Amino acid sequence: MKKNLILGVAGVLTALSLAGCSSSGASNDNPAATTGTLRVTVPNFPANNDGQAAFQKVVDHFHQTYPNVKVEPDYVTFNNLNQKLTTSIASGQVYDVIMSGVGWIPPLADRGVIQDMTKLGVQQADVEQEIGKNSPFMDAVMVKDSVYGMPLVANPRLLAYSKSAFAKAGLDPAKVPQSLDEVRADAKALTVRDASGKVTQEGFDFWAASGNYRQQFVAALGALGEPLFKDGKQNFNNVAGEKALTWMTDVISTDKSSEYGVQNSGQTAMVTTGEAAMGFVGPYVDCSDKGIGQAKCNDLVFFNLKDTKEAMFTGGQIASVGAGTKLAKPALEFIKVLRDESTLESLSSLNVGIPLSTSDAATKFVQSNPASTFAQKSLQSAVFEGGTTNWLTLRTNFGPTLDEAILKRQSAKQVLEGLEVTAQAK
Amino acid sequence: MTTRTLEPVAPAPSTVRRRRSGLEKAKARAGWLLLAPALIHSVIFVAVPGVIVLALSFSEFRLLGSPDLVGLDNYVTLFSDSKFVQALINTVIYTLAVVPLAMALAILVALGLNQRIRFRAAYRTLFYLPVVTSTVAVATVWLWIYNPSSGLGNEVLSFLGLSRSGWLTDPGTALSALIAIGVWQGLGTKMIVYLGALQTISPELVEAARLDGASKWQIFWHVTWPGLAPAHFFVIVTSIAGSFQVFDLVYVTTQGGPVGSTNVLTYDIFQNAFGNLKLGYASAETMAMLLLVGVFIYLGRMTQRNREE
Repeated sequence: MKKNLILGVAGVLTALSLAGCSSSGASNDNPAATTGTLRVTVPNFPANNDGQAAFQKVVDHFHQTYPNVKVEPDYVTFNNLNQKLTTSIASGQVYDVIMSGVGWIPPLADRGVIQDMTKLGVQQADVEQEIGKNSPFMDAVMVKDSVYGMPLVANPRLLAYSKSAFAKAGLDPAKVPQSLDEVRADAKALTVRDASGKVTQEGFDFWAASGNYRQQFVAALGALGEPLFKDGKQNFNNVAGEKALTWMTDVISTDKSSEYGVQNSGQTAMVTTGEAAMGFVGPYVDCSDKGIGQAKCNDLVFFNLKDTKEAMFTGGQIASVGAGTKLAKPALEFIKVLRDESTLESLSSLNVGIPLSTSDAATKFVQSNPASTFAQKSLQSAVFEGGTTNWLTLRTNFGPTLDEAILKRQSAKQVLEGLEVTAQAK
Repeated sequence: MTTRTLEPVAPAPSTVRRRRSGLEKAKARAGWLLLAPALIHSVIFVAVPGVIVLALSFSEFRLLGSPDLVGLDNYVTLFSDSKFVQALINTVIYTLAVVPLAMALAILVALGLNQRIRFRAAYRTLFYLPVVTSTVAVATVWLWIYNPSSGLGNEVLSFLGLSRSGWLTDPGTALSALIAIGVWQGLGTKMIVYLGALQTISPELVEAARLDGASKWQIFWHVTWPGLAPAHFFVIVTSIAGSFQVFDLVYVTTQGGPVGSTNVLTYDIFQNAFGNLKLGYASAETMAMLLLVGVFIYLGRMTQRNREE
């Protein structure tokens, strides 16, 4: 991977110097003499000690090339990233490197928050070389044939069930439930309550807080063969969308196999802690004694929803160069460091993800645990959210609106019709 | 020999005026000088943003680009927006519950802690502790208490033989659960104000009432309560303004959910301004909220005026 990177970045730097790209004033052709402050949004490095230590390693690595460029991280969350970016643009304080997610690139490019990296010398072929030509993430970073971001890590949401819980409930542990109906029936059988009615084992864990069932809906919709958006237009207010949302409502509010909005205190996937028998999980499990342990790992079977088509909801992290930056070259160098093998591994561990890389090291990391191995194999079944220029506005309203149907306040049809109106608004 | 009586010569009126005028001017200058820091702060952080918000409320402004004037459109839209109406209702319910409940509890606690009891200072500190604790920390602890599967709240309900609650995940109980946190968190400040007011009530008055044969209730109602009047006014005004501004608690615990049951005006304004990038509309919401706070404070003031009369 390093060789590819060196070639890619060498090309980028050559292109930049030839084009005399905007690295005004503070930036010049001599990295050691370049000064300034590189402002970076950091939604993927948590603001805790581990996250800050991992980020510092990236900064130290970056300083080997640009020793006099100060790096100023802004530890944001994906929930307030939109606000941060927009207000920064409005106030004229641009970010130089913007880390965002899948679905964010079209709206950020449309608003002029991030810039066309093709003009900075990064070609589609460079990205393909990094993450693989057939990677589904290529679509996530391209806008009208131009590169607007460099993918870092994939964050899929797969499913898992406990073989022992299946056996205990009289279900065949070898029979993987896949259609929405099968999952619903098994979830019902797997739900355990005590005498007071308290659920002691959830049949199905959506791994979502209230107002945040959006990604799970995308997964169910994908399993019914439909993406959230098709050709830039909404594709959820249809028969498949209604069926997906009705299925979620049935599992949560009709069968009560899943408690609405309930998460454990660590907000971890409850199927990995034994609090649920089946449910959504992240693509990384620590099978050591520090994690869930080898016995629990052996007890889990990973799978995807597959009604008419196998689908795995996939989010991801993408690094882009901020529009209006005066430090374009250092920003590209910083992105290069972010794609360093050790950084990708850190990002994957910190964010429950898998590195988007074709390198041997990435393959080794993926094979280190069964969830990553399964997720990596399933990447071709990835279904994404977003895809339109107004996604960030729709994203805010999507989850809370789905709850109206999940809690039976409105029918699935009514909810999806309302969301279609929001999706069509500018 | 003639004697001449020397009469004091009165200064010419113009001189007096000049002297007085000089003194007045000096006083005025000192007044402005002392007022300046607060005035500058208020102009920069209150008046100017206030005028900008008022202007923006008549526009459609999406932060990037320039605002387009839309007249009263935003205000007209407000009342057909079910989310705004629900946020308005939730805010009013929250205020009507938190303000009187917290005031009543604060008076009771202040009365109790105004007595000579053991560990009085420790109790006062304990009641004041939630005020100085960050809302995020407070909310995190309450999130654990309200966790439907493993929280303390449901354990207590089970112990009492009551059915379990979804707390913050149940649209029927979420707002009440937030009200409980709001009351608990705001108790300390109100208690301190009432405690201070109680200590200004003359013990001689209480003693005189007792000698006149007044019962404990009569002493409270005719001596203590009127003595607390200035404190009531202060507490009402600050509590109403504070409860209308509840944001961090909602942001950390429920994000306005489930299904908008805890969506309050400040959170809705925030979402529209920075989530949906509808700054003009959010400004109109802000003006509506400002008006509502004014009405509430006026009504609160009226209840005190009636009492004073």
